[in-house]
Amino acid sequence: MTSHLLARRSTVVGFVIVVVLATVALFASWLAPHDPTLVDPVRAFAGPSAKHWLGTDNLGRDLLSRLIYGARWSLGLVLVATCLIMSAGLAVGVAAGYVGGVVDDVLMRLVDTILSVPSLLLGLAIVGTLGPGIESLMIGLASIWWVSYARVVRGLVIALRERDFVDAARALGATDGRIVVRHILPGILPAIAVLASLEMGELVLAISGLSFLGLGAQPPTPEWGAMLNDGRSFFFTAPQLMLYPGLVISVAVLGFNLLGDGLRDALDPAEASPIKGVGS
Amino acid sequence: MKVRTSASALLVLLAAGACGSPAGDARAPRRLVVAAPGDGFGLGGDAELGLYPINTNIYEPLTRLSFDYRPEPMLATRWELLPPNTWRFHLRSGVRFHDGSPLTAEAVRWTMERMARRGSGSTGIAPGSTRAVDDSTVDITPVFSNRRLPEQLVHPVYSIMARGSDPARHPIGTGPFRFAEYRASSHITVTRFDGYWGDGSLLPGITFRFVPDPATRVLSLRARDVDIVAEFPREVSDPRVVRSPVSGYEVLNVTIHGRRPYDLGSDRAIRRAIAAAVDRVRIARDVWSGAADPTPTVVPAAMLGAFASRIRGVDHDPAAARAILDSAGWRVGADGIRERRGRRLRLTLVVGFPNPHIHRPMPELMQSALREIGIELHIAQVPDDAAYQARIRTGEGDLWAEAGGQNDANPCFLTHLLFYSGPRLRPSGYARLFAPGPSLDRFVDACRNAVTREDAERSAAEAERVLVDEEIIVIPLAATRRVWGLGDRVRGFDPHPSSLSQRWERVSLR
Repeated sequence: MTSHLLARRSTVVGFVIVVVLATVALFASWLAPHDPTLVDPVRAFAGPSAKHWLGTDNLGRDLLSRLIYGARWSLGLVLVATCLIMSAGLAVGVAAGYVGGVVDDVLMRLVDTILSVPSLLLGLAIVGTLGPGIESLMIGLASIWWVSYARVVRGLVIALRERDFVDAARALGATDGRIVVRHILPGILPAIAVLASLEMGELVLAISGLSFLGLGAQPPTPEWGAMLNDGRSFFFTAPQLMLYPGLVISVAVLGFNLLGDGLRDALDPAEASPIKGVGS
Repeated sequence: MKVRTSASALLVLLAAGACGSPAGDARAPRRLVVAAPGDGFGLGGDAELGLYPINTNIYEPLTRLSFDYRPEPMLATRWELLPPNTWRFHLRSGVRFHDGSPLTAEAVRWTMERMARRGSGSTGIAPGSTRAVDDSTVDITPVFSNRRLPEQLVHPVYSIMARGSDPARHPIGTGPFRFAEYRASSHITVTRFDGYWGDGSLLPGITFRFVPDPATRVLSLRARDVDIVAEFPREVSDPRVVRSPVSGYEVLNVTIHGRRPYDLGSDRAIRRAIAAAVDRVRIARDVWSGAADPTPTVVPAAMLGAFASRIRGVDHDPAAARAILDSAGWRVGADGIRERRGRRLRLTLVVGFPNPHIHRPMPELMQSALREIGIELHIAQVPDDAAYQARIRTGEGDLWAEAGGQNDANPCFLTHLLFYSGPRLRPSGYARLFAPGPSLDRFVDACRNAVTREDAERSAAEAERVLVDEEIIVIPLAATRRVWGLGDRVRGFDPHPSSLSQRWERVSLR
């Protein structure tokens, strides 16, 4: 699979972008030249210099440092959101797919109901009701995003639960919990990982978008979407305040999408994965 | 041949376009389009379309606010006090409402009665306070002694309406513009009133478009979609802005109600430390350059005359702020935030009056300044004034960012309206959070009863001194100017210190 992955240049590019961004996020406190929240109005809108490579914003904060710490916040939030979404999606999808019957019917009608509401509106409503903030943002995103995972997981579980090795485990006296943990989950996790990598780009956009609307990260958090929002007023006088965070958001989304595409191709069902044609 | 025909047709079209539109525009004067911060008129029966919070000049009050904060004749040409507590107003003759009916004392009585039923603020006008003496004379007797009444009546909310009219649906006033159309969350349009008693409008009409987002207002001006932008962002430099004289204030009010978890402001040491952390000069000079002045007073210093110097404010001194907190037992924790007996020194700053945008970027500056002395500041941004007032009612906040304006000629208007807790006025939501009690109330009472302007200014200054220097309940940040963005075709726009008293009839488009 690794050779298959590395064979595509675009996948390598995506991988490099994601690794670089992850490294920047992990080592932000070493890499950032300044405190990203340090306010110094005297230096507001300073141009690029040896001290401030990308200049400063309207409060004199170092733009490069804010972008670097922004990687930690933006990608960290994506990671947390993905974990929440995967947990909920796996729990519901496994329950519906493995138990079946009434449980499956009830859970899937719930999924259908949520899917029938425009996700952006639902997310905005949830975050708006809970009030702006990172916690609300995570709850809002997890509330609308888990359903697509649940449907995929359910399909994968249904495909696996009738397989011979599952029957064999059952015949040997394995409990349902053991069958799920030891035999079902290992079979679906690669496909879920691909799905997660494909959705991460969208999550970056969603988180940035909600922060841009003032519903996500709050001042002085250097989150990329919030930085975009902060820079709007100065679009004509200091376009770099929007340009830089806009660029890094684009690059991050591009990286996740290229990597996700590569992973999907590498795990194509014709070769390895059962993801295609199941549940979606 | 075909190509030539097409080219000719194109030329004809271009010529028609070139001749048609500009010439047509020149012959028919265009309406002025103003981008206003938002639709604050509301939808209920209490709405006063075209009056507040955007004054479209449909209505006029008895007296009006001059550029130097004094009452001037408007619908009343003169007024006098009839002791002990009655104010007599003599109405201007020849004034007609937009429906053609004449301005009479009865219309004034009807307006004042309506206002009294809705709550007359700190004027003391109650049902039955107003009496028509004859067609052109009206007496107003507040329920408590109020020598400031003519200074208060300059506020547009006391404007005179046609008797029996419905200001929520079809407002009828005496102003240079008459109501034409209102669409909620979209716009309000007024047209020239040809029967106006004064110099009529130079414009055929004005459309006030509601554009809540400040960046969008700026872009609208640049795209020439609008001619004038109200509340142009203070932190954005642009050659097209004009600024009014100092007219408003940016302050932080500190909650002293003492209820957990918002009880930290009850500690005077914390209030003093917060005030000492504020660098007023930096905020005014470096952040709102040109749109604000550093000042220790709340209302514009001009309102307090020579007595403004009695208010000193707390000097910027972060070292002193740290020392105050140290001696109060607040120790710096591992992350730089102070703690005492397991409680973190964390405050909530509520931002939203009159809207969250106008304060930018002050909340982040405060966050940074307070963190330097070991106070964690959480910024709670609420979307609008209504949400802000709801939060005031619950008292859920430690600090409250307020950008207000001096909209009348009464030097003690703010202290009376927001911080007075005496028996003469039903305590406001603000008073429950911020009122210090008798130490302030006695000066407000003295101001309200002061016979001379000088005495009123002296008492008003003393009341502010209690708030700012003694109790440190109000922390002034800056004296602010109204900032407008003007398109290049606008002529004759003279920004009034109070945007509520802005006049539009002398504005024209080139």
